[in-house]
Amino acid sequence: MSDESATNRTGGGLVSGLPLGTLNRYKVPIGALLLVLLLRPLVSMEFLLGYGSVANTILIWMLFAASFNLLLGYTGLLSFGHAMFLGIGAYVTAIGLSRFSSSFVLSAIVALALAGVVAYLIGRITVQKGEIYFAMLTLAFGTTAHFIANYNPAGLTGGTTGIAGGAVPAWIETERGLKYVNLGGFQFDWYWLVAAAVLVGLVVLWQIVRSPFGRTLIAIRENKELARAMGINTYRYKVWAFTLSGVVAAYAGTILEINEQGATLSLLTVETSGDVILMTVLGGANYFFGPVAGAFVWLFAEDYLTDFEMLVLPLKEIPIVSLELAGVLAYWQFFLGLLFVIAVLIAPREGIWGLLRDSLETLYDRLRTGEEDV
Amino acid sequence: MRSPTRRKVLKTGGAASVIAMSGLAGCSGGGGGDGDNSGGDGGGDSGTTGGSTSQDTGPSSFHVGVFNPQSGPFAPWGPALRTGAELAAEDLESELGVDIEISTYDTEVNPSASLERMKRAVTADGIDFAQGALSSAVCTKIGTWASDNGVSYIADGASDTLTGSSCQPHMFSTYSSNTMLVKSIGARMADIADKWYLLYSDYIWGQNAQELYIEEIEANGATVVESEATPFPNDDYTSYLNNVANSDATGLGLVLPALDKRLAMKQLRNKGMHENFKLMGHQAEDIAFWGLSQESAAMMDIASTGWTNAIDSAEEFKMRVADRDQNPYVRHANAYIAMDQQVRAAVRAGSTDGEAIRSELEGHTVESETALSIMPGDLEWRACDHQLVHPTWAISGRSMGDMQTDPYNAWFQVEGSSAGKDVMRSCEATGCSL
Amino acid sequence: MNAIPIPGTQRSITPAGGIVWGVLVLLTVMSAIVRPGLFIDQVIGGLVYGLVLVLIALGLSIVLGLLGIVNFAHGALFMLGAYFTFQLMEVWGVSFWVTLVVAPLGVGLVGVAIERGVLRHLYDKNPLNGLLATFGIALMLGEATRAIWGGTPRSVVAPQVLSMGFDLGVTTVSRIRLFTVAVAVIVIAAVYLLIERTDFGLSVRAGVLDREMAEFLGVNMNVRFISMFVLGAAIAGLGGVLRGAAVGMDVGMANQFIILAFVVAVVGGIGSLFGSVVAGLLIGGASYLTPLYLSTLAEVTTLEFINIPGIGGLVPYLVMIVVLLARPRGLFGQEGFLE
Repeated sequence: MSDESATNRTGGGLVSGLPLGTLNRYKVPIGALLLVLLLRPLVSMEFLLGYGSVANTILIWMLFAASFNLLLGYTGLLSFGHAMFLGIGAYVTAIGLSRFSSSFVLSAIVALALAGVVAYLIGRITVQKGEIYFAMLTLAFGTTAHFIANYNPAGLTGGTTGIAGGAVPAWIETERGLKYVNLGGFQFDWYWLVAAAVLVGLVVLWQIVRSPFGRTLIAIRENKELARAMGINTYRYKVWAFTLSGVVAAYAGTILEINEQGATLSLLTVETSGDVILMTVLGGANYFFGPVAGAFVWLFAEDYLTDFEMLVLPLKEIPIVSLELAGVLAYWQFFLGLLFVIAVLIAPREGIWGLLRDSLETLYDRLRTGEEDV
Repeated sequence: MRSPTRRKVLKTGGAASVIAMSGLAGCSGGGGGDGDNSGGDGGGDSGTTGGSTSQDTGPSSFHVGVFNPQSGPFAPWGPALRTGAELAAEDLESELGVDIEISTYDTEVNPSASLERMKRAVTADGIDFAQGALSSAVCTKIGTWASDNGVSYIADGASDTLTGSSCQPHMFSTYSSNTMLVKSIGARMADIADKWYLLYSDYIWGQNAQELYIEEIEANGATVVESEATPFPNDDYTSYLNNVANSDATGLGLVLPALDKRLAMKQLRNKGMHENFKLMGHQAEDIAFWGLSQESAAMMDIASTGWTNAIDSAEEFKMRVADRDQNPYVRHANAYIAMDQQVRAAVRAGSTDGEAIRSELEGHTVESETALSIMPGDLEWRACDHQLVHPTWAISGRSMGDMQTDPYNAWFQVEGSSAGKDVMRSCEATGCSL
Repeated sequence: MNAIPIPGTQRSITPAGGIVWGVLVLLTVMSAIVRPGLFIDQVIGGLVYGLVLVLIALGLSIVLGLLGIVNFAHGALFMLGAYFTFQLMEVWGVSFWVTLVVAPLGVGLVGVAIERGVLRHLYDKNPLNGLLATFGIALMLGEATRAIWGGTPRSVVAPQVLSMGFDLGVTTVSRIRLFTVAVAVIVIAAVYLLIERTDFGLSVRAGVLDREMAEFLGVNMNVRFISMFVLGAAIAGLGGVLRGAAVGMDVGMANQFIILAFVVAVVGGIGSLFGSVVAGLLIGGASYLTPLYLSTLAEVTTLEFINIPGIGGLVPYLVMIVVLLARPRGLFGQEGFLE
């Protein structure tokens, strides 16, 4: 990974061309704000997904992927067990709500605390091993978490069925698919709470990343020996990166718990850990918004392509060519896998987001400088 | 109406009626009409609980969501859940003159994905009610959501918790509960072997079933020498088979889901142990054996099921399934019954609302001739837990020479049957409080 | 903790290690006494299963050890071997013995495509890139398999001589499994001879250590890299043929075994062939014996909760965690490898 750009680029020519320097500095939170505001209207459009509440899931996964990237993109650690923390977030919250009738806030705090402790302990054991060993150990721990949840100790986790009933906080109401938050007389759509929560999560990650702590992580990723020679305790930084990444993932898990009204084993599987890796690398591990983009592409493709039956060109009112694509697109994962492999070959850390930015920048430069550039 | 280029729409009954319907104000299927679903607040017209509309005679068209696994390890089970529903829809349309549109949704045997699809089905596609799904985790997930949102749903999941601790007001279940399956063959098991060894998969379904077997076998005079948990899923049963070989059991009960049962039986055969034991398979669906070999089916000495194509009726139904290049088995029958019953209930109630269907189904004794021709016997939707009371059959594998493969696979024979009410667990034992 | 020297050897053992070994010996003796027949069944069964694991993991180990590539597509290649078997035997009517040779070659060809198409661009890069690329390839192969042969589990009819069990006197083992063991032993020996005792193997090892130098000396490293990857793929395919013939094939088998193969390779130590063999036997034996040990212990102490149900499935991971904590490089891992 060290053959690509030496720093994590959170700056770019396009935006820095604009006169407002502050705008450039805060472009991550601004971008995140735009994202959460526009995502649902965007996906609700008929010719896209035509259905709004999938935006909740997409936002939550974006946050999950962003938390994972704190490990992969910023620290250079590839974990195969990250689903474990998403699961802890969801399960502990669900257990608190359904088994102990406690409040959502209290359960969520316990969930985050537990995730932090578990992440810290596992981090301490594993981060100093070589990369492959680290990957395998995180895989082993992830599988153990799955086993424990399946084992249903003291009837807490619900085994294979998971937790499905009584796991919704009292201030949530659903009616024929629409979810509302009912707080102190105010009623508003659940999506806005998800949006706010995810926004907070992304901003927190951003703060971590641009703090001295975050910069040190990047330094460690780039050149471990040099960092050590400079007196940085790489072990401690890696452990804390692992811990923070786990806590933010668990935070995403608590939001997910309300969205799915419970917790199921599928949150703890190797497939889920694998999916977040795919999303992050596909999106671009070098960028803050890389995994966000990757999560969008993956989930969008999953929803869009699985129901795709026929491609009618140019318009469905004027069909000239129509292709029966249902059979092929049922295997959409093949094509995304192919895209993923290509991304790894050509631009392993750039991903889709990197390519997008680069092409937009080139375009912007071209437009700005006119014919001279051609 | 969703743009037809993007939805897996099975329209039975002419395109013209589709166009006509979307213009009707009384169109059931809440999300009808083009402008409603798009826009920032997904789910458009949440107000209309489709169907309970201006027409006095109640809804005459229905949009049903059929959930089935189309990818993942249980994809081979998927077509039956769809075909059974389609056949029922055909019959209902000709008998009642209604219009039924079916939309299928891939559960991927993943509760999170299934939930997403259920939400979309109700909010964006505007289904009236739903059926299907075979994994109990999926059924529970979408069933709970459906009930919380006033949508009626008939599950085909094989787990006692669906009609037990996880029971829901608007969820009904067609699949035989573990208790029903166990009680159907407990006595026969005690007859063919007096010492049993049970291998069960270590999750709720298996844990629950093995407890029931122990009770039932011992109540009938035989003993269970050992009941051993095996990991779920598992790639190797040899060490457990060693345990079995080292015991003094003469009967081996495999309380394992389809793929693991397959593996265990193959390894049993490879070790040459199969002739030393009487073999029982819990919830042995024919389909699990078709991918194996006839020899494995022949090995099965006793099993129980909610329906088998070896029964002496429903010939026409079986042939219709065979015409679609499928082999009829229990889930075809269950899917048929589910579609048949929900539509009829909605017609009787004059509404597709979850509460309306519930009040029609609860305690209802099935009178539908088509349903009864497929599942002969007493059929009733029990009120206390929403389980379909139906007869069960004890089956065994035919000898190789007697196995039929044309026009459809019939590899099992009927050993006996039990009336539903004789094998159901008591309402108190379910743990369901509806 | 101070190490205690073991009399008669150069090695020493920490008190913690001593306790662990002591407990294991105690449990072994206990199980052998309380359930002798079953104990023998499980020991032999475990070793046999262990060698099956070795065969499955060997290809991965070779590629990892010699080429430094973490081949996540290994499980998919294993699955392809099984499905090629189905295609050859059930669809084209080829005999098992011919399939045993042809199917692995087919998988080897797929390996060539992967190596030339993707991997050769990644040798000098960060090993994580190789892991990620093969991860994507695994996804592609899995979907392609599902597209071509469908999602229904399949099976083939093994030859008569390999069906049924084989009576070893003290225990009965399935014949096809014994055959797999025999094949595993032959393959291990052949690979060892190839890598350690031939000039070809020597040139590969040299090239891995210093590619530039080897090429300078006229060694065609491209050919060598391709052949090593093909070897790894073919062995994976061979494992698939045998597994498919034994119990059938389904689209989940790639994921089922990839993790197990990695555990064996990692526990044995990356870069060590010998390590993989030992690790496979260890994990196989542990998987079979742990439930026995626990149930014996529970019986003897009458503490039922010791008998954790379904623990067998978790044993490989527990072994990996324990081994890696005690020996961070695996049992026989070489220093500096992928660190």
